[in-house]
Amino acid sequence: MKLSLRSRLAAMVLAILLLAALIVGSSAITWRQVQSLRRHFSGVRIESFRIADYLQANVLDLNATLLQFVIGHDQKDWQKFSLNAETLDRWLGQQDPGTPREREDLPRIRSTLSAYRSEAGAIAAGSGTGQADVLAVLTKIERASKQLLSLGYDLASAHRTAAAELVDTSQKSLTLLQQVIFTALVLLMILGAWAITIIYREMIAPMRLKLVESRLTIERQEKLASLGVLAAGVAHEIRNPLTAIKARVFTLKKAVGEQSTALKDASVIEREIGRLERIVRDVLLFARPAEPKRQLISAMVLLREVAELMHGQLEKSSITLSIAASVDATIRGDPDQLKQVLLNLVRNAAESIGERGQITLCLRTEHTSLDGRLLDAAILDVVDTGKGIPHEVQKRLFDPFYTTKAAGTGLGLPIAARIVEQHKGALRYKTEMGRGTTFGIALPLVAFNEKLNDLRGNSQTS
Amino acid sequence: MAKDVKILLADDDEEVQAALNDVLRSEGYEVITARNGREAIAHFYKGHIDIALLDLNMPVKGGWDTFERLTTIHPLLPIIVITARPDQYPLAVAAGVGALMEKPLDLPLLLQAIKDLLSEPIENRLSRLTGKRPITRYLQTQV
Repeated sequence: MKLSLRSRLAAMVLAILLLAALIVGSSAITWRQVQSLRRHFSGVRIESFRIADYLQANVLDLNATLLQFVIGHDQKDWQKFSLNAETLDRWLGQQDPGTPREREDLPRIRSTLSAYRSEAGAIAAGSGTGQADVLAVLTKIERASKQLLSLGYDLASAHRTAAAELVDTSQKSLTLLQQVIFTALVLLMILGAWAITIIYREMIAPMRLKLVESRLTIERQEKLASLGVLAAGVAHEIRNPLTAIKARVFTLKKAVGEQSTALKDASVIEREIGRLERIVRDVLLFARPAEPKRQLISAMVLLREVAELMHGQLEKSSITLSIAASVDATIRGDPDQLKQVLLNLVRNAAESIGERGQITLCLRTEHTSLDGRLLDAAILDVVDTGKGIPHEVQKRLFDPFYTTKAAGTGLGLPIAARIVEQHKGALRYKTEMGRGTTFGIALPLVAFNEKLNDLRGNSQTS
Repeated sequence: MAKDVKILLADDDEEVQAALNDVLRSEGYEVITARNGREAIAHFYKGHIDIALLDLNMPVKGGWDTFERLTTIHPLLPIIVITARPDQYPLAVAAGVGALMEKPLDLPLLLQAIKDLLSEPIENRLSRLTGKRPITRYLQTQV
């Protein structure tokens, strides 16, 4: 079943809202991830690595200076040591502890540094000049600086761990982000494909169908129009010689005696001329049917008139003709043309029955598709109990000049179909071999208010 | 036999003209033939005409033009339009022709129409021209 336009629109709006929610959600997640990444970065600054390096380098430098002093006893070296130690201590004091670990470590480093300085002071004061003494002093210095160096190592390794953690977290965040973006993209694509499918199926496809239909209609109309011109031209060219022949036969018949065999020949010629006339007339009717003189008519009245016209003729073949209709229906059309169609269908039905049978003219209303629109239609059915139409005949039923009758032009049904088409209706049939055929003329039903308007219009003009 | 009745027969098709000529002559009418509208009008000026049979498709001057001209000169002249063209009915009604007959002609009907139009009271002819009595029973159309 087809969804209504409203539900289709609702689905579209829902899809758009879903899409918007998805975009908002994924951007919120992305935002959060970026924020957390930024926090990590500010937590573990690359700068921090330098504290450890600087500390280690300076401590080694201090050791060297101290050793120089111990060996050379140059007062300048001691001053240099004190100055450098002081600078290092100040520098450490200036460092801004970024991580909790640094906050914890810096004071410890500073206190260890001051311990190292006092140790150095003690070494400086008590240093001898002997070779063994130098080695002892060196060992002392190393011992004093060892703690400081190991603290530096600790800090560096802590930084390294933090950095590794940061890289790890960043990688995890990036993977998560990638997944979110990928999921959003996939969902977006699915939604997009869905929307495109809906748009195509519900809007573009019907439009294209309509376009093709109208193109076919236009092509058909053009073909029929040129066919009409052609038919009129051919009819004109055939009718002139026919006139001459007919006039000659007329004088010939008068000239020959009543008993002569020539009279018989003349009559045959006359009959054949009549046949040619009928063909020309039918071709014209098919190729250029007269514009219907539309008026409001009662379908019931139409059926009754047809029944009356055919009644006598059908009785001879023991065919009963009856009307089955519960309610009347008003249609707009040319009564003469529609009568012509109905008479044609009844005649066909009678020929299909042959002898003894039943033809029923039914009238009903139905909600059906006509001329590409869904509307209320009056259906005028001609139901017969005849032989039915064989499958191979059905395929060519509406082909011009296709006939199964000895004396037919093969234009009856094509003309009927064209007339009904000109009334914006449709000629339909269903048939079953051995049981009979039903031909139905579907015509747009005239609505009550339309009838009223028409009556008003008429009373104003009259 | 209709004695001394002059029929102007205008048709460009020679065979049609000759055949109709024979039919009409055999009925005792005097026939003057024309191959187009101009010839028909010329004949009309030359002498008295009782009734005209006009084809529509003619060279030089077509049927409806000739009809208009003849009606202007002699409004009371009965004119029968004979044509192989379909769909001339509305035009014929509007123009007020005496009769419209589609080819190939129903000859007994044509002869009857000639007789009837010749004996038609002048008032009928006039009222047809003014559009008051548009439809005669010889506005025959095959469709």
